[in-house]
Amino acid sequence: MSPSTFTARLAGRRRRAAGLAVIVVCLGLLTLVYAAVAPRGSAAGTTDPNVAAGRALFEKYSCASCHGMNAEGGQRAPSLIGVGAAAVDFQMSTGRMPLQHHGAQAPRHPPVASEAEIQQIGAFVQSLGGGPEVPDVSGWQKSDVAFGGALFRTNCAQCHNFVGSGGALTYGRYAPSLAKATPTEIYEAMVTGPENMPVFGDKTITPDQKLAIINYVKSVQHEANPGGAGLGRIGPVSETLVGILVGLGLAVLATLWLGTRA
Amino acid sequence: MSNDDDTPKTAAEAAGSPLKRAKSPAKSSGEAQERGTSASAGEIEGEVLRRSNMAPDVPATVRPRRKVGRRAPVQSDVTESQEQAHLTRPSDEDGTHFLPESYYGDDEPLSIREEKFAELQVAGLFTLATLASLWTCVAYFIVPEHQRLGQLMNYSLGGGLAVALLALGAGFVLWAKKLLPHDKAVQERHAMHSPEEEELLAEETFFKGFTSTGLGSRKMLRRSLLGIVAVLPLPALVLLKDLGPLPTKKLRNNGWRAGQRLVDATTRQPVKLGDLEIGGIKTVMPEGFTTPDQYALSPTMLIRFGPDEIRSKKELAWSKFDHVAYSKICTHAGCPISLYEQQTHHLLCPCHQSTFDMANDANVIFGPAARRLPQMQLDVDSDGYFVVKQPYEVPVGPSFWERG
Repeated sequence: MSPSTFTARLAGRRRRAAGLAVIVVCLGLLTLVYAAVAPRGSAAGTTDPNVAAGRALFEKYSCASCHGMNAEGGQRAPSLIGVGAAAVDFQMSTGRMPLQHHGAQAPRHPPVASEAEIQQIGAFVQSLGGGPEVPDVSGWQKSDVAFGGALFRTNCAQCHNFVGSGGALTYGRYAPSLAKATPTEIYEAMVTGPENMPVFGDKTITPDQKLAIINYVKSVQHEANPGGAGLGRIGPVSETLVGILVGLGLAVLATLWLGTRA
Repeated sequence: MSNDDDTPKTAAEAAGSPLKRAKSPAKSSGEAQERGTSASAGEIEGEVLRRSNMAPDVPATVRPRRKVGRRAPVQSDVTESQEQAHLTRPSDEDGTHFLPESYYGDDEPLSIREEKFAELQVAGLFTLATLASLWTCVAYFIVPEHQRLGQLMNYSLGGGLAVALLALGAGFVLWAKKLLPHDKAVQERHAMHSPEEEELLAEETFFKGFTSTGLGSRKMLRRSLLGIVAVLPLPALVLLKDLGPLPTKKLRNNGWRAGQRLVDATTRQPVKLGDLEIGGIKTVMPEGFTTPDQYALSPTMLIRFGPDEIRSKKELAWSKFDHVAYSKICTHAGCPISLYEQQTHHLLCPCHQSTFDMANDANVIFGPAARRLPQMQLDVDSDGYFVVKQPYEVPVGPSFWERG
């Protein structure tokens, strides 16, 4: 083998190696760029064990049968992309989801999934397209309850009644009673707008104002009924009805007793 | 009066019986007064009938109706025949006495034991009433006043008084039912119409009077009288003017001017583009609102739709970045409405269930409202705040006569 042929062969090998090196470097750069540009926490690329567990639970609780395998929504249920963990936490911790049967509206039930499971499903849904996170409601006790009452009467009372007793809407739908609502649930309902409730984002009603509303709702929840029975706390309508039916009924019975012969 | 004369002839005669009874020292017991006058005839009847056992000349129609005699009958100064005249069973000749035979049936008398027990019951109830009254007085001082919004105090005072009054009443009723004598009474009434000659006389008097007024023959008198009758109601109509000045243009001015910013109804902060999320709502007012008229007519709903959710072209043209502004005052009876369903875009009025389709010009889809809600044209100023491009073109709120 002549030296000239050796060097030529060496040069050819070097060229091949250089080409390979360029490709490797380019691929490496591409990965870095992708990692920087791609949405963080994407379901495909994530390593969060909560998300994986949430995806499994998403199928276990048959969420996927209505909302689709990738929560993309379907004929019977909306897409969950972008609704956030707050919506999951609200719907599942109030037992509205998983849906028990189809109707005008999902009623409140004891929750089916555990708190940890709800958190995992929330992490999965959050990973799909962001949305409101489960809010931190600490410190609501320190907020201005009177201001909260004013905000409640302007923004909430039209449907939920002035003390949160709920009320009817159109075609069998209704605004539920807030008697059992927790501070977190109230906050979540405002930011996510479950079912037909309008959305009250943090710019429409600021977080401080939301805490004040929570304080008002909690304060009326624990208020005593001076008459003994709240009668649904819907004001003079039920009070009059009971007054007429029960009061007059008793008066009639008493009259009958007076009229009977001994 | 004889025994055959067994129906009272006049009201005075019938009414005379309780009077006689009151005069009679024989019926001095308190029970008789408790029963009232309607029963009094029967009571005396029983008294008489008891005596009738000793008097064989009483007619066969008279039957003993008193169930128990706890006191020996006392001789009265009214003669038996006088009393019997009113108190025996009335004759059925004119068909006005329709009480069935069973009505005159006798009740079983109470035994001594039962009577004692009834007395104990009544006395027990009276004692309970006394205790409850005393408790009410004591509770006023010892029950903590502010505990549970005064609920405990409510129960103590109200409950004490209720028990006291109910027990007292129940005691009276039991007393009347079990211990007082139970006799039946028949009260006589007269036919309602007057004798024929009296009716004729009244008719004659009426026409005689009319003729003597001269209204038939004196034309001038008649016409002037008709005149005053026609004019007399006019002052009442004129006084209606005091119901107030006519609203004129007041109802058309709803407090909004072009170029004005929209502010939050509670915080009075101006509303910026992006403050509302999709499906969000806000009650807004004109910046610097103060007057009661503005509070009444200005409230407006700012709603943000999702893209392509607005179905009406006109509504879309008046919207700004999927935001629309509609009057919050119902066109039916003027209630404020913001029961908004973000999925169906229905707006429901809580007063009479009028429902408006907010994605389609706020048309009425249910309920008594006759018109859609007025829409306001929106714009966004250079600072990003919502402003009015064109205020409501029609008066907001319920219809009125001059609305046109």
